[in-house]
Amino acid sequence: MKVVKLYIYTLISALMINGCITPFEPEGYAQLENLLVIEGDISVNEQTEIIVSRSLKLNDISKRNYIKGAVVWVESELGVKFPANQVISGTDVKYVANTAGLDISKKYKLCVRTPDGKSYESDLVPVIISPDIDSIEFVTDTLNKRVTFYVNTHDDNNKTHYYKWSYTEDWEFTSHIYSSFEYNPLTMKITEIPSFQKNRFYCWNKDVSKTILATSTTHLSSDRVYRMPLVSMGSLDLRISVLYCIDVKQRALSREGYQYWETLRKNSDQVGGIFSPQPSEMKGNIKCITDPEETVLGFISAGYVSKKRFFASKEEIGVYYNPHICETVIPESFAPPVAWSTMFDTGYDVVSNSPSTNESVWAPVACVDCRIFGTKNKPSFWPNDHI
Amino acid sequence: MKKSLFFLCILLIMPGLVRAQQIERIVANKIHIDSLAILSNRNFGLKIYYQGNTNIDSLKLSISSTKTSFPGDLENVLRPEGFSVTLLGDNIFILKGKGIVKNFPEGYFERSNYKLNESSDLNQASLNEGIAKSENKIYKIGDPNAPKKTGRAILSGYVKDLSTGEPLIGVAVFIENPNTSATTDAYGFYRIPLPKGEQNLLLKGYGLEDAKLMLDVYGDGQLDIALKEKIYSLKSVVLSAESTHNLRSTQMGLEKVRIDRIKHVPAAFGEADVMKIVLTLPGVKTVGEASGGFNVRGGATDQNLILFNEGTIYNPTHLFGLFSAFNADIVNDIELYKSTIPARYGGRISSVLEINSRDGNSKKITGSAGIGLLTGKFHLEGPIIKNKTNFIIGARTTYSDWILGMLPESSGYKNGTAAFHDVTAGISHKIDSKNTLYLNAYYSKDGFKFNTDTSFYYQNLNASLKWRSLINEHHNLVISAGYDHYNYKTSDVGNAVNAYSMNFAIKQIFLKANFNWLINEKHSLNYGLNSVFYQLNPGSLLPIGDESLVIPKILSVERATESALYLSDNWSISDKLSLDLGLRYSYYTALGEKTYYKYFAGEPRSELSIIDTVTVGAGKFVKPYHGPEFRISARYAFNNDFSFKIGFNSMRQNIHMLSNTTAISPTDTWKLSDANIVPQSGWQTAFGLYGNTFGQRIELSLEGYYKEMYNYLDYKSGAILNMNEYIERDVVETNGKAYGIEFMVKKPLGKLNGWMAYTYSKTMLQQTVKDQGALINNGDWYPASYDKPHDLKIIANYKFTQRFSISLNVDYSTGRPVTIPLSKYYYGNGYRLFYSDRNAYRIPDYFRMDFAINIEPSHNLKLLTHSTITLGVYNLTGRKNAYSIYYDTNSGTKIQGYKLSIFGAPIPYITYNIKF
Repeated sequence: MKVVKLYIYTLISALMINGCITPFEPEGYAQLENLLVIEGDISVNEQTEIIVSRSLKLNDISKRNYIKGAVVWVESELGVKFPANQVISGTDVKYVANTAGLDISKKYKLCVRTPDGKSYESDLVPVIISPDIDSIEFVTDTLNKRVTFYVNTHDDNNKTHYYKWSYTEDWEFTSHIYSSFEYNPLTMKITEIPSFQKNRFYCWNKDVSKTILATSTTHLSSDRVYRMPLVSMGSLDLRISVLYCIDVKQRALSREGYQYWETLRKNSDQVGGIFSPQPSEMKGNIKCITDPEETVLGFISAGYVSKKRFFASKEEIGVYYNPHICETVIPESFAPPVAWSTMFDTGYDVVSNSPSTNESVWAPVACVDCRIFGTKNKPSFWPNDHI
Repeated sequence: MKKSLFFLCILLIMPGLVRAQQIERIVANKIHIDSLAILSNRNFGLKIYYQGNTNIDSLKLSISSTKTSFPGDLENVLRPEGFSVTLLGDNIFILKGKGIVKNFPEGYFERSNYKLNESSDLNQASLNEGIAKSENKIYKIGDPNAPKKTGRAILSGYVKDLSTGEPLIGVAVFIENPNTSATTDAYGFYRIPLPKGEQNLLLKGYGLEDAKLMLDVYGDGQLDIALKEKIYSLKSVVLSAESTHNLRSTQMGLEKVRIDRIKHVPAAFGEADVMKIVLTLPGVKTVGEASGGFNVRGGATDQNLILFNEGTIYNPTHLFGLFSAFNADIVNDIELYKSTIPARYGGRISSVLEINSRDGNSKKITGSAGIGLLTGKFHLEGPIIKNKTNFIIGARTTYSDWILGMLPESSGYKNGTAAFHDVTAGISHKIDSKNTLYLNAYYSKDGFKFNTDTSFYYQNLNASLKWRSLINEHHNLVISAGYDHYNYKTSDVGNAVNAYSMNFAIKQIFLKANFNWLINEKHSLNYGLNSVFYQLNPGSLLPIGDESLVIPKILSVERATESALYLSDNWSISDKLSLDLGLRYSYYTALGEKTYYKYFAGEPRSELSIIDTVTVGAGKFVKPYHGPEFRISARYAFNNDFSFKIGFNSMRQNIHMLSNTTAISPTDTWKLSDANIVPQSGWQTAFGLYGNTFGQRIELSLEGYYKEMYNYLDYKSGAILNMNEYIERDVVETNGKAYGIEFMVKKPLGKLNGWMAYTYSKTMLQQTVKDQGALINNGDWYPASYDKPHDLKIIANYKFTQRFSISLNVDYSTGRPVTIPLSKYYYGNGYRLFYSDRNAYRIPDYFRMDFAINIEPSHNLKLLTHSTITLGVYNLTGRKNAYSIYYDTNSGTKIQGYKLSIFGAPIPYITYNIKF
């Protein structure tokens, strides 16, 4: 039904709309900020990473308002504390506790004391063991030129029922045109790239899952998740142009945890349509001890995380197609010749240079320099020898 | 046509010019009779009357004449065409054939008396066909040999349309001294107490010629009366029957709309829409256009009883609410009871919307067909046995697939299909003069396929049999029995392991017996019995295919009965004061076989608070709920043009719709009250002031109300409403209160006709039961999502001629309340929103204006077919009214708000209808 309702909503919207969605800023109400947000799950087989931040106004351009200098620890039902250390990388702040190897028969809670002296703690939550990920696979839709990656899992004991996934993805790609030259805007000269190590042909990039991926199997006769869609890509997607890697983490949830994430998903994904449900309030399991009336956002679970990494190459997927319209220009062929600096400033980069004929070939920088879409940081686990 | 239209325009635009030419002469070259009538009236003060059913309006007349010679000149022009011209005072009558004989032949009255005496065994003066009414004839009622002409007698009978024989509904039948009135019911039947002796009986009906019959009343008797449809070209003062009705009855908060009005109101895609007209009435709101439900005086969408020919309709819309599911060609009228709901209705706490279909033409076979942008329709009616058995049948279907085809490739719906159809059929059979049988059937189905894997459909099916009998002059009964059915089914086979189909169905069998007994001129009783047996299949989830792991899950069937006895007395204490006292006692119980949990009182209902499991055997009562409902109203008429009414009524409702969407959604589920779900109840008190002014041409009304509702079901956060066998754990009970004031100006007839209604109202809800976990808005009152305090509606139609009219709609209201995000935070790798208290903000105000031009090229009654063309624009100003506002959390770090408009541009349409 969920699917059908969503379809109905989308269909009706699609029927009527054609330009009927317009940007809108409501006026005359006060926005809130500085609600405390605590995010992170206690893991018993890896480090626990906790992010403490405050909520922002809707039109604020920053991503998170991190809280530095908080005291964060995981505490067992027996009162044993596992302190977390603050780790700052760039603008990001997180608190990391070494919780690998915790006793899975105990319950745990997360505690936070903010620099302004307030104390927060979650309910005591049991450790829920996620079954192994059976497989990750992809299915190509040759008609619509799409590929979708799925995860499959099951629990022989019929006990898990509620699942949540997150993933990080890495992909390798190339520029369309290989160039062994580069233009130096300071010296205004074209030089040959000294070593292949510094080529602008092979690049990598990475991203993380953006949507809430959770499902339940309570309506099925066996506790089995078959083809839960994770990510879908079209034929022009750079991620599947050479080699794609998806690294999936699977967590099992309690019923309350599942409801929290499901409500969060509905409130994020399905609002504003004709048949979309009204946003509903969700209470997390974190309280402010100092001021019980204070709203705290977030839900803390504890569990054993199962992981699986999956690679798929362009050839295996067979969907990627990019016509790469890359016009090449020879600035010396114009009368008068166009200066190299002008070429560079208008978004071109050098492909080749032949001092003997006094001719250089240029193409749009996006065709020449892969760093426009990524970096040269090759993941350590990458299975090929590209550099 | 063109020329006279042009001529008319000149007359309208330059009245000064015409006045300058006044008095002297009329010089006309090839103009139509209606234009000539205007000229004659303006220039000479002579009114021309002519019969519409002759070919006179196709003649082109040339005349040059002064006032004195005009009648003679006109006769000279018309005599060759077979017409006669008679001058009576300032009136000129043009008749086919012989002229009017101004004096009665000698012995006329004796002869008619003699004839009546011959048929005195029937005590009935039946009218010859072809005589609409004879104002100059005296009808003798009762036995003329009865000795004394004192005391009172009761006259009853049917009022029918002269040309089609169809019963006329809502015709006022009255005498002026003493002031006594009756209104014809849905069968055209009236019953009126009269003082014995000579009486003038007056009849007034909307769109009908007024009639006055001279009666000589000796005793109780029957009189069937045929009325003529108004020939509109006649310019004479018209009075509204509705206005008379409004002032005389104790009924309050009743809105009645005839289908011809509905057909002139501009609507989206040009579909004459029975339900959308309801939204133009004061006190009726909707959360937004293209949403299925409506809210009456602060009630929820499931608190309206929608009756189509006695059957209950659970989903009255097509295409998710774009159109109503009733064929406008079949419908006769709609009645919406907002306030004093008669005791014969029950089962919903907010309103009753009654939709009546027509009986069908009893004289000849006629029909109509029409095409619009999205639908095609057809209807046929006529006698099977002349004057005894009539039928009417109509069907509608869509070719709306093209809309899906217009969607972009990426939407994924390009291969989708959407289809709907509905069929309405009725047969009425007159067994004898006292007994009539009616058989009605209705079926509608909507089906959608979103792609090859996902499909959805819903259907309504209703069938009923009704027997109507006149027990005697004072007493009649209507007994009806029927079956109502609503179901929907969704299926998704996209994922082999999860492939499923889900079904939901409500079935009910009803029996209604209703008696009307006119005891004397002071008391009129209405009493009877209603009984409904419900069978609700809350859901079955079934796997599709061998690979599917979906566990077949069939929620146990819910059964219940609801029976009610009622009695109401309409008591006319004096000419000025009358009371309506009604009492309804209803008894409801869910029936076994049923197993349910008992929960610990004071704890939120959950697995943890179960204290007992109870099993009730098949056919045994699970938990009865019963109680009285009061329907009381009073009317005081200060004079013929001003009256005051006050009323109180209470209602009970045993079936609940569970929804977490603002609009009615096709997958909303219904639930019967049981041991854990208490029935809803409510009461309303209201007052009204009603007046007529400008010679009864304009009606004014002011109504105010206050109401409270209890045990309305709302859902908990994260509630699962479909396929939930423990639904009582996921819902919360809320109470509501609503108050408002409605002001309406109505001009039912005339060239300019329509109404304007302004409403101020508030509707607030509160979650009260403290034991159910978190309280919505901490248990404070919050506005309902259809709470729109200010509301202005204008429906106007201007008839330039009988052939050409324009219609305009205006709809303004305060924006509805919504829940909006107050803050954003990054969580779970995405932006999440923290929402305000429920319904704390309002979307921008709503404004829409629609315009339509109705053209009826052929009016001549002798033509075989009559066509109508309607051109219109829905949302003329193209205002992008917000249906909702929402926030896109995927667009970047800054969260952008958007508003969704359903019809964000002017939507032009054209429809073509043909009648034969």
